[in-house]
Amino acid sequence: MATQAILGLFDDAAAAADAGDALKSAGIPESDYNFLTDVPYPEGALGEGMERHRLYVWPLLGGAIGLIAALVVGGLTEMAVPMTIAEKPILAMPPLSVMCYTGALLGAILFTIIGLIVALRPNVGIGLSDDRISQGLVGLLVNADAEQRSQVTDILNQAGAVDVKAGS
Amino acid sequence: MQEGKVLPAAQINRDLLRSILETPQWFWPVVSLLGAIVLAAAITIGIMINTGLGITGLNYKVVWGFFITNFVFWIGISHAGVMLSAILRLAKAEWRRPATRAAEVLTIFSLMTAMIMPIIHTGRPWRILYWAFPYDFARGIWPNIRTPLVWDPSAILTYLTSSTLFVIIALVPDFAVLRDRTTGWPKLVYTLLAMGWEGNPRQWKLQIIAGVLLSALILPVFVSVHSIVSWDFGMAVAIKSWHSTVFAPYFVVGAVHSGVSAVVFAMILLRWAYGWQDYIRHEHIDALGRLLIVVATGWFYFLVMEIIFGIYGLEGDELAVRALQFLPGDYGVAYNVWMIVFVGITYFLPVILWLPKAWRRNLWIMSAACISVNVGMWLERYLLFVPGQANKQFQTFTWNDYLPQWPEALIVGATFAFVSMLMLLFSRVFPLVPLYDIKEGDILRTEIQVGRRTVPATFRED
Repeated sequence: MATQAILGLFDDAAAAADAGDALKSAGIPESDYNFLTDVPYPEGALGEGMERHRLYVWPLLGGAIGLIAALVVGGLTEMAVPMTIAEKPILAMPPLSVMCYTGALLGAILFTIIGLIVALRPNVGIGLSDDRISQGLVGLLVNADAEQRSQVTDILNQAGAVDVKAGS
Repeated sequence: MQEGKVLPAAQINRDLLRSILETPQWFWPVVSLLGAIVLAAAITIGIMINTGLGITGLNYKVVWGFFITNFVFWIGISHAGVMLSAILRLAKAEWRRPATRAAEVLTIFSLMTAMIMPIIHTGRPWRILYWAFPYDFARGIWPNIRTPLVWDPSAILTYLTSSTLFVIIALVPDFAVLRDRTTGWPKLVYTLLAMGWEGNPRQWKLQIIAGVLLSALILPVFVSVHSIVSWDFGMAVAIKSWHSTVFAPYFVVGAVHSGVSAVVFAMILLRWAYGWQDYIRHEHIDALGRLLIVVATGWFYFLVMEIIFGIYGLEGDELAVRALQFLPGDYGVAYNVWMIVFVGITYFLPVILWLPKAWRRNLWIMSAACISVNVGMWLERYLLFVPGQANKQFQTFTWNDYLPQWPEALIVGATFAFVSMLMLLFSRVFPLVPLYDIKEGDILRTEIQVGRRTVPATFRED
């Protein structure tokens, strides 16, 4: 069944949270609505569930890969060109540890960004939105099917929405 | 410390995006002037490459002069970004909000400028490829990873990559605001950069956690970069006064000293240029002034320790360099006079200016103090590197002083124009004060009753 996006705009975060609760009570699953804000509200301030993520895994993975890459490249370079300096060993650990430190951190940082991009699932196009959200209003975006449209609009209006817009 | 008033989000957007959506009358003339200086420097670099380094004051003894001094200076300035942004973000310091973006951007442009210096200093810049990316199998040229001169580019490139990604991630919500306010090709560019940002709770959570993770990961890079830069000198056994174990922390603290001072001056300039009095407030400059007193005193401790470590061993060669640095002698350049000037303007003068609260809140005095620190920190690097080379060394029988010539002076001067120009151009296309950070500070702000007083407070989420 075709769904339509409906956006309610609230000038108060508490009213938007109440509207979210009312939608939940009306049987609309949490996955079908989303809050849109111009600032990061404390988690749960809008009544949304805790977001789960695995972003912490990425820097660990990247750090390990960076460390191994630096160890291999640095170590192989030293052994491939066995420059004898005084009686120092060919495979010198102090310089190699500097390379490994830098490599591990670079890997961790790059993989954090990769992890973020994977988790955000970037999409150039955006759904129904309103410029007033960037001016402080809280948006509540609902994907409703044909049967629910009027019910959702009523819920948003009753919760105190300053405006309710429908997408095409 | 919450002195400003809470502003409506619409006004915050209008004020902070004014530099992008409207062009001030002074903008292009100033950028053109700075561009002309940079162009003059680029032509000079061309002449220098064509005729050789002989047109500079560099000579057989003093091979690291103005260019390497300037390299270390700009690497130092770049440390402001992480100091302010990452440490204060992790510490949840409320007053960081208007300063972080400018500090991070200054980091990127300072690093880019710093990297130009050793490249042109080589005389034949294309050969640096064999050194920094040296896998030239055909000619059998390989990197010697035992030298800090190879660690250096890897650390600096890691720092540049990290800082750039850090800034981009922090900019994504602001790209979305710009996407909704522009038309034509700028809208297309901002749409691509915003990556579909809507501002839903999941996006905000991931963006904040990524910011915290990157802050925590960049901090060790920040410490390692200037440590490795210091090892360029500290591991050179042959040159007395360079071979010191205290160089790494000394350089890192010095970098924070000059970098934070540069950020304070940049913030004062931006406040004046774009009318951001409601965002960059006296309380922010005051807080940075107090931080600078601590950092400056830490730096002064390391300066004294560096000198004591040098003298303590009573090695003849080392003492000769120290005599060159501190005692009047029959030299063309009076290093001892410069030493007095440098310590005075880097520590005593600015700290005296930062001590009274009223002076920390006077933007003219703060500007003077911060410029003084940076002139002094530039001199510090010069006085640290050049006398050691100019002094007579083991198995060499020449004494040469270093007198910089016009190409070095012009190129070094132009680096300041280059960074200023890049900062201005950045402010023309991206907000230099993070919009959502300012708005977040406002929504978390409240007032609490303590006894008979109502005091401003801020909610914090663990």
